[in-house]
Amino acid sequence: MNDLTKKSLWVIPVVAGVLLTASATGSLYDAGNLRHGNNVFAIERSAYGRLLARLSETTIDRVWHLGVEQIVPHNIPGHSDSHAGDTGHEHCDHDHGVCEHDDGHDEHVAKGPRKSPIEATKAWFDEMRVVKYTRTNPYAISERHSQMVKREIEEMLLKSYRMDPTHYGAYNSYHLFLTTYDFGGNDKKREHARLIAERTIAEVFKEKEDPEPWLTAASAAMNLFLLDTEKFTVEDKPIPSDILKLHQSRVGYCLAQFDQLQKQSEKLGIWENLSTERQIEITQRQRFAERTFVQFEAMIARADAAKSANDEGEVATSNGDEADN
Amino acid sequence: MELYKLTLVSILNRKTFAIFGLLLVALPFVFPLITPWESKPSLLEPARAQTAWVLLWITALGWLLFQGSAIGDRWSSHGILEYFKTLGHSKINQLFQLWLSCFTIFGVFALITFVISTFTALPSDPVESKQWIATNIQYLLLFLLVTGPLLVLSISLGTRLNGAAAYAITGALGLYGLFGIGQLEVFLADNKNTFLNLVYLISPHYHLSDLTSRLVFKLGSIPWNELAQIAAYLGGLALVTLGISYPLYREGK
Repeated sequence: MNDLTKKSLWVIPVVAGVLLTASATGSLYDAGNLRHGNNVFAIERSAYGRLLARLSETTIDRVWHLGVEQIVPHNIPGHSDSHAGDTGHEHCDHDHGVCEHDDGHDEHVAKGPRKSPIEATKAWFDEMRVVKYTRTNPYAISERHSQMVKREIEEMLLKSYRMDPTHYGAYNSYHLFLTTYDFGGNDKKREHARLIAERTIAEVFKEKEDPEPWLTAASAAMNLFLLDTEKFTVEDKPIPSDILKLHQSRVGYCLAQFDQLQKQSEKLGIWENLSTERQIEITQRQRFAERTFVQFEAMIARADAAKSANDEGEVATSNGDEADN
Repeated sequence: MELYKLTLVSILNRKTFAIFGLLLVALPFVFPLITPWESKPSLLEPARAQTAWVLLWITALGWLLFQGSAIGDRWSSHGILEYFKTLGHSKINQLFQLWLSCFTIFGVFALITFVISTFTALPSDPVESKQWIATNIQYLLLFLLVTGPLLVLSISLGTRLNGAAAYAITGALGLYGLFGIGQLEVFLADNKNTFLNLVYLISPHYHLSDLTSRLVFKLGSIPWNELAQIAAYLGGLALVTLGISYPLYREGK
């Protein structure tokens, strides 16, 4: 074998490799196994995904307040209402599941006890951080800038939702964003919101240990109810009782599952692992869901009453017609 | 095997492997504790397996490829490879010895990860546990089919370019195969451009060797016929990488 042939032997494995890879690529491509899926190392929906979804709450809340409402968010320590300008606390109207501040928390700024030098210095840093975020420009941000911020927020919300679709805050914030016209929501996005709600419910249905996601499912089921019945509300027509019953059974199932898993969690001692704040937060969400759920009974009763009154009216009319004939 | 011994002793003397070794052992038990496992303790074990494998990937991309590039660069610059050439060590022989010295240590790392992932996160259900072990074996096989040849490439490039450039190229190739293709896929979702689609098809789909999701979501092991297809694909890529590495390798700079 001459030297040149010897030196070119490396071509053999390359050609063999190309042939082998090409033949495998064909079968992998046909079976759809070549798809990447964009969830490298299974971060989304894993334990770390849950962690990231929780951590993103603060960031999203901050960007929301700074970008959409143009005020210093409450969760930046040292925040004072004087920075909120005319906007005041109007933003509390929304419930995106992450904004849970009360209005009394700023009082210490004005009349707290005398602070130690360390505390005073820390407070100074907090104040400076607020200064960093405070908008002094007399003009509001432009419409285009506002749109860009909203789009950025939507991307953040989607990312957070993908990390943990069963997370109460992540799901509800994203849903709110998709369905609010002010934030760029439109009919297509409402359809997307419906898909998101259904996906969340499907994801939660696999949950057999942690009760909390079932509250997210109850919330998603309520959102589906609102999306399904908004046309009746807009047209000022009564919601048919069969639609109401369908949604009632779904929301009811989610709440029953929550109850069952929560009892199981208490029995196994897992519930005690949660901090008191978390327990209170979950209980408040449960109460909110249950208060909404009990309205179904009254709505169904009203729908049934309206239907029977309608039927009687029709019977009376047809009887009257027959008598006329 | 003098070159093997020399290189292995050199790596051991530098001791950076010990940091990675320590992290590989300790972090799978520490990191899962920062997740919200308190409301769902069953998250802990899959998270442990996930952490162990992700750390092994980080070690492969961060330490192994760097070692290969640095050693290729150092030995060829210092004339060590020329010296071994005069002793009658062929290119293939030298390349194999250098590869083996890096892989001796990395093999131990891979074994640590395999043991942690398999035995400290084993599901209690007998059917699931059997599948868990099979998935870990499959994962190890595919993982080695990707990292082994990339190490050969990093050594060869190291002997030809400088260490930093060789590491940047092989590291970027690894990252592209794991993450970049996903981005390309999003871009190509509505794009019928022939050239870009061809680029997608001939790109190294290293992400196929990432079976972390099968462990985390307990999807069970890959059916053996499909595993054979993926192994053939990655094996083919490995042959191409090895083939290309040979002419890139040179004994002196």
